[in-house]
Amino acid sequence: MTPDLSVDIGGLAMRTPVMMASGTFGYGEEYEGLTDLSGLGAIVLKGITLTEWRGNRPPRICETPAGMLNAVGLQNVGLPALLSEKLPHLSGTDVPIIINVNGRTVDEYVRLAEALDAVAQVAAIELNASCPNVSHGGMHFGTDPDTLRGLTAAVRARTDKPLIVKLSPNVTDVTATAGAAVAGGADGLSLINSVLGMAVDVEKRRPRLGNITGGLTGPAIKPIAVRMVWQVARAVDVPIVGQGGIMTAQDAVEFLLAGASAVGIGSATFVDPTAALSVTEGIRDYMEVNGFSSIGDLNRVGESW
Amino acid sequence: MFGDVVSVSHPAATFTRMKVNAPELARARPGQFLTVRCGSGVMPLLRRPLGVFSTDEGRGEIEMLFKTVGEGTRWLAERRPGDRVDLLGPIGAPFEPPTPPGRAVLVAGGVGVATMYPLAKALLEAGWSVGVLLGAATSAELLCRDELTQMGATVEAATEDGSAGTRGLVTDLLPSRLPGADIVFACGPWGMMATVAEMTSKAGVPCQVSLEQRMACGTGACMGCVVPIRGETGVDYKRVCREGPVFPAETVAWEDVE
Repeated sequence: MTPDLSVDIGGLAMRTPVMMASGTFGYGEEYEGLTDLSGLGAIVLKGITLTEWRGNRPPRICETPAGMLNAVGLQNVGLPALLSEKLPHLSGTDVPIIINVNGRTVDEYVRLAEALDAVAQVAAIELNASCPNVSHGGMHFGTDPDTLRGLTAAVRARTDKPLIVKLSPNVTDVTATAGAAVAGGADGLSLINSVLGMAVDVEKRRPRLGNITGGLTGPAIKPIAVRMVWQVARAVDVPIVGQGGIMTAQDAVEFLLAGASAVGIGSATFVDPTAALSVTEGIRDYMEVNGFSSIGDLNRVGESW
Repeated sequence: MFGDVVSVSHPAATFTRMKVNAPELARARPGQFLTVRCGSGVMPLLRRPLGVFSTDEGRGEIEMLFKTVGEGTRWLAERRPGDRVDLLGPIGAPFEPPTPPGRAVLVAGGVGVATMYPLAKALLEAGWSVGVLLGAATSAELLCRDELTQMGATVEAATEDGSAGTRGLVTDLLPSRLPGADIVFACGPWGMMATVAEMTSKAGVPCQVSLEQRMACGTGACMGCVVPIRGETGVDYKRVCREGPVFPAETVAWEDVE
């Protein structure tokens, strides 16, 4: 029997459970010719703000053991250029496009959601309340449950599109923020965003990042991400997009068994632009070999742990 | 894309020249670079950006010249003929020499010669008069001197320990070369390029520099490898892998990065 890889994330229908995580796939166009976009489950574009943001002072990247720190600071083209240039460029693809929204205030998130709600090409909205690299907004919104519930509810009121809230791992109890997002009206949750970290150059005796601190991603954070997905899957009743350090299909299956309905591929794309396609094929093989007919069947395994 | 290593040599203790069969990369123009995956595991995780030292479109081969600076380049330096390496490129915007051909001065600091060498070759073939200023810590690390001379370039060298050429910094050689120069190209440490930019600006000679930055994706997606570039509305952060690595020296906000 051919396994069914399709999933539904709160109304967002995906042919495969593998999506490109925000911030690691640009606006999609950067990877044309390097990978087959049509083989992807969904693409989450680089986080967007109402107007263009210039981002943080370099250096923004620092490699660490089995991972990397980044402190890009949401440099992006802004909503007008997203609508006039970036989305039209992707009009030929039938892969769902998800827009990751960011703001300094609740009002900025709301205005983005309103504008995107009117765009047919936008399949879903990912509310980024967890960027660790901006001084206003970002993670500030995502670490306090009451604040996150209020933000989610405000955005929910302005859009009928599937609303996915991206959660920060930089909290003591992720089930509290997860519950708050669901209470605010989230259709799905994605986790985890990057783990707040820092590295110091002992020769130059200063931080390696211009922003001093940054977000850790890559295989180093995978066990944290799997644990949080498992905790959240037991605590809430909405679909979860699991992400954090997935390099291989085995990594992805860990998340699916722990309760994630879909997975996000991030840093792995930097290493191999076709990583998401290999992960997808590997999930299919795993399901065939082990007799799983749907992603839901995989999800049920972790329910008894 | 994958390429088979054709030959490997070590012109100095910490330097490697490696020829790889990679037809898609053989169309690279001077200034463009590639990224290479170092190993198949997750340490090191990220691909390494390296200059394209020479190309042979007929044979479908390219050559890299690189310095071993960490575990990634150490892994690469240990490859042997027949080994397969994972390459992506060509990446970035190439040098843009003006027309018509005139007199060019190329300043190469350390392994920056890997970027200046193919440019010298292309300029000479296009009819330019080319002077190359080579800088290194010691004579052992002074690379490509003879090849550049044989190619037709006028080469001057400076070493920090005085073991070859003039004792001192490569930028010490530049002022006397500026009168009559139509353009200067530079690649090397940030401080060296900042000095070159200042000297050429004062002399009124155009200058293009090839910049380096810590890089994650090498495709333009992650916004990680940016450098501060002056625009009409102030300093913007531009990607080395997309808008760069070559920038007009006068647009770089040199003071903005340590």
